Amino acid sequence: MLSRLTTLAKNKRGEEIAADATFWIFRILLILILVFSLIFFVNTVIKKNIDTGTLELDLVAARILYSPGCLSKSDEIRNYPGIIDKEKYDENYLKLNCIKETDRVLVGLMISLEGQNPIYINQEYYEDVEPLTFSKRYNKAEKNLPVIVGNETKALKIIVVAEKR
Amino acid sequence: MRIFSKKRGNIIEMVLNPLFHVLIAFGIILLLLNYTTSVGKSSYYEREFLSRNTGLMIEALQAAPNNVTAKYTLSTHGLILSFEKDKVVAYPHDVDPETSNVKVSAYPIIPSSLKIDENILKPNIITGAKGKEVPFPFKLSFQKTSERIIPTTEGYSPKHEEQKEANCIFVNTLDEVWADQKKVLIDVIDVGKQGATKDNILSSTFAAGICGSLTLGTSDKAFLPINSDCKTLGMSIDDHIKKIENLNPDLLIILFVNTNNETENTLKIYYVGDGADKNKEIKLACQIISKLLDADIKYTSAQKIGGLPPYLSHISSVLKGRTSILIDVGNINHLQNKDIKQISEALHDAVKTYYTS
Repeated sequence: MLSRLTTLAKNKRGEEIAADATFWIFRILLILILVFSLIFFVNTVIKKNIDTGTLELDLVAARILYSPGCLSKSDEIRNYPGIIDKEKYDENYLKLNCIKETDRVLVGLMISLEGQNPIYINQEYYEDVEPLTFSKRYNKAEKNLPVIVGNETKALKIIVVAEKR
Repeated sequence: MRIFSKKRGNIIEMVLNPLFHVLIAFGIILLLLNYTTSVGKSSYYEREFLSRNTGLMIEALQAAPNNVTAKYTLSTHGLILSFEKDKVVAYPHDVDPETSNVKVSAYPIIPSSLKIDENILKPNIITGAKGKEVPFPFKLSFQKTSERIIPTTEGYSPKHEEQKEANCIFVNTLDEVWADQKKVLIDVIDVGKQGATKDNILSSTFAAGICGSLTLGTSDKAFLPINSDCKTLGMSIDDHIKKIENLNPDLLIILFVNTNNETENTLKIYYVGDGADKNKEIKLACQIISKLLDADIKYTSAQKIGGLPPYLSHISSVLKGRTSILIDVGNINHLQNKDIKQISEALHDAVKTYYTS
């Protein structure tokens, strides 16, 4: 092939074909660039993703606060939103009843009640992801709320981090 | 480009070169059109929305302090919704989720101690005009107890299966309602036992029942620019035709009652089936049928007016040239008040849906 091109280049006709070939390679490259840039342009204009990241994490924080399986005080008759059952402020209890730890980790949490040590759900995931939440790939929600514990009002802090689902 | 050169080229340069360029340009345009069409036709967004929306609903219920029942209607776009242990999956009704991952959207649910009942919810697909499949929306219901969340469809009626023959299509009748005030005329023609001769139309109790409980144009007036009237227009077919022509309604619904008819409690809906309004008439007929799905009244599918029985042929002329349907109510002797009320409500809801979708 190379020897044929060299032979062709030696005469005038060959020179023309070689010049044409270079020109066509350039043209095809231009066309490909044009096609891909148009497809890229169309893709950037069409927003197909539904971004519910903040809502998802707010629901997790709400679950911690209000669900009877989480921190909220409850008895056989009813649940008491806004009142924290101190006995439920326990990592193992929350992992068993509130947000179960599974192989596929979807969310990491840090819960901190004033005057108590913070507790974690999916701690390793939380510690890995929390520093990365500046990135658009991850979401973070932070809630600071006054809650009633026994007869006292205390501050409860919930930080939820997750990769976008 | 050598085509613009002063030097005269040979046949290849003058014809084939530009042709080649045109072919390449055509190929690029085809490729891009194909791509944009595939994006437009894709149900990706609907699948994502459906799985995510219902998944978030379950997560919201997990956060609910007490037992909750949540009900809402959700447009399905022909998708199947599968609730699994730890995710909600949405996929088109003609796709096997085991083999086609491309058209399946899954939303993983953050696990809790609440068990999610596994369930597959299928839309009620009806076959519309030209074989087009039209899904009815889900009526979703979620029940949250202290131990589980139960997703189900609410109000599903096996009667939906009978709907398969209805010619139900989507056509935009929403935009036109705001163009100007619309006149909707519901004309009740009760020929009693005599059959449809020329001058024996009764002021029947049926007309009073239908029109009495029809609230269109009163409660809906505030948000729909509709002026509606429901009455028996005269004592003869000619009277009716003349008055309909004078009133010139935008939407005409004729209810024809014939107690001599052998078929009881059976509605037959006819549309003119010609002209630009054909699809609108089919839509309205289908809307009425769909509103009667849970009623005890039997109905037959909407059909072209060409198949009108002879006793209705007198009034077929007035239907032409405007958006109109004819409902043959048949023998009303066995209709109870609740049935009449249901027909009236179906008319009301159908017209409302017609002008709001």
